[in-house]
Amino acid sequence: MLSLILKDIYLLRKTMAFSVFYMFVMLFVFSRLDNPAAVFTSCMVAIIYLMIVTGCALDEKNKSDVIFNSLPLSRSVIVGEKYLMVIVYVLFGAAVYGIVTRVIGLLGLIPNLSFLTLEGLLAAFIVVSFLASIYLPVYFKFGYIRSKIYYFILFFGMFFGISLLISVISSDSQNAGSLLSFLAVQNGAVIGIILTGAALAMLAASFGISLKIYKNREF
Amino acid sequence: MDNMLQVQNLTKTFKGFKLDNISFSLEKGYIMGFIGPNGAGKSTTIKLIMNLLKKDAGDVLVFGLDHIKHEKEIKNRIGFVYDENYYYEELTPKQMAGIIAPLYKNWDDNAFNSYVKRFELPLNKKIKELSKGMRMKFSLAIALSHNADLLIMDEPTSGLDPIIRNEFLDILTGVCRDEEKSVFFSTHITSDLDKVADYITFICDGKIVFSSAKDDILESYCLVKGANGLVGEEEKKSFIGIRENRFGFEGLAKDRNRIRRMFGDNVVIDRPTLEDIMLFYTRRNQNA
Repeated sequence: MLSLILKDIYLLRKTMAFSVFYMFVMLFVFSRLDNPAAVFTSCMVAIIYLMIVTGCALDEKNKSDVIFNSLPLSRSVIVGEKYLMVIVYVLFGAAVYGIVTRVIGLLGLIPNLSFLTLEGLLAAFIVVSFLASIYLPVYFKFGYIRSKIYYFILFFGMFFGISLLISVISSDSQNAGSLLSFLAVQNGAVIGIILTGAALAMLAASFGISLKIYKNREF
Repeated sequence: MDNMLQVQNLTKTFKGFKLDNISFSLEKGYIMGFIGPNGAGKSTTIKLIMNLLKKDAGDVLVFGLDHIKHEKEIKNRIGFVYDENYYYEELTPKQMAGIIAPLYKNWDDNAFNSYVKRFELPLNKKIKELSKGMRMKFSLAIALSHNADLLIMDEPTSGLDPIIRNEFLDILTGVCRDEEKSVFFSTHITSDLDKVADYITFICDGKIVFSSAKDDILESYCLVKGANGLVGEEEKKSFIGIRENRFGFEGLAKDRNRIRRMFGDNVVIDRPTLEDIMLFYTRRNQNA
């Protein structure tokens, strides 16, 4: 597993370096947003999206499945590494965000800068987990090229889906009311634990689906 | 006898092609050449052995173990070289070896370094900047650096120049000198096998034509040459394949004595090369 993580880090060194510059640009672009938490989440999603997709593209370009499935590696390790990398990318993205905002803050370039918070980190992790949980099974099934279209659909679907979810919750006032009253009596830590648990459960379920798909793949 | 590789009734069907119930085995300490024309099923067989493709039926035993149930254990003892480079082109041989080394139980850094030195591999150059010969040597260095008992190679010499091909074949002969390792080596360049193979398995159109010791094969077949008009429809039945032109005919047959009785001293009977055997069988299948 560590070897595969090392492989992705070697391959994505340039992308990682580029993401620091990219983070600067995004902070300036997103600094006009009213919601500071959304700035962090948007930057994280963009950076992590870039790394997941670049990693998958390089794997496909080099037909690496042939080599990895010829080595003494189980398919569960090959699939599991992609999921583990999501957490590595979140930690990396948070570190980059922390450093970049600190530098911008010291220079005083952006007023009302949103600094890294635990809540923000959890929110980013949940959004990224949702995206990765849907994208990775599609990638393992169809490969990078054919899964690109699904990723576009997923992005638009996510924005559309969120608005739809809000309208459904608003119209179903009885259930929404009980959900909101449940959340209202919980403190932030409990809500954070529930949502993080849900994100981890989603990743675990997605891993199971990806593994089932990958075990039947031919190379 | 210790069978390093045993393939029994292996079957795989694709649209337009079937690997049809093939069987053969390779003993410890020998090099087996796996020959056949393009599209005969060589790469499919190798991919099935490596579990890169799912078999429809049959068994593959490597070191006497089922290749799927004991996949990890088996792959720790297999070195592989494929027909093209599958290593990350963006990385250097040093980085790639650093990724692969911890995956093998018996990785030997000293062996790898000695092959790097012997092959004059530039460790810090990106793999995409290496020549095809160098990439192949890198694949071979990886395959030989974890004390593998069986080397599986899919057309490793295709696209290499004659000098590098010869060097490659010398290395293979050296590897098997201690009679502990075995090599399963697919190629359509049969002259490579004239030099190094102990056994030959010939596949054509998804079926095994023969799998025997190379010397037995070359002894059992004969190449017959003679003038036009000697071979009628009845005589043609004694040949595996026959080629005629305005200067005469040339045919491959199996029963040397029968041919001698049939034609007396009117024909010349030669020992065929593996290429002759492959060509006549392939042509017969195409005309069937």
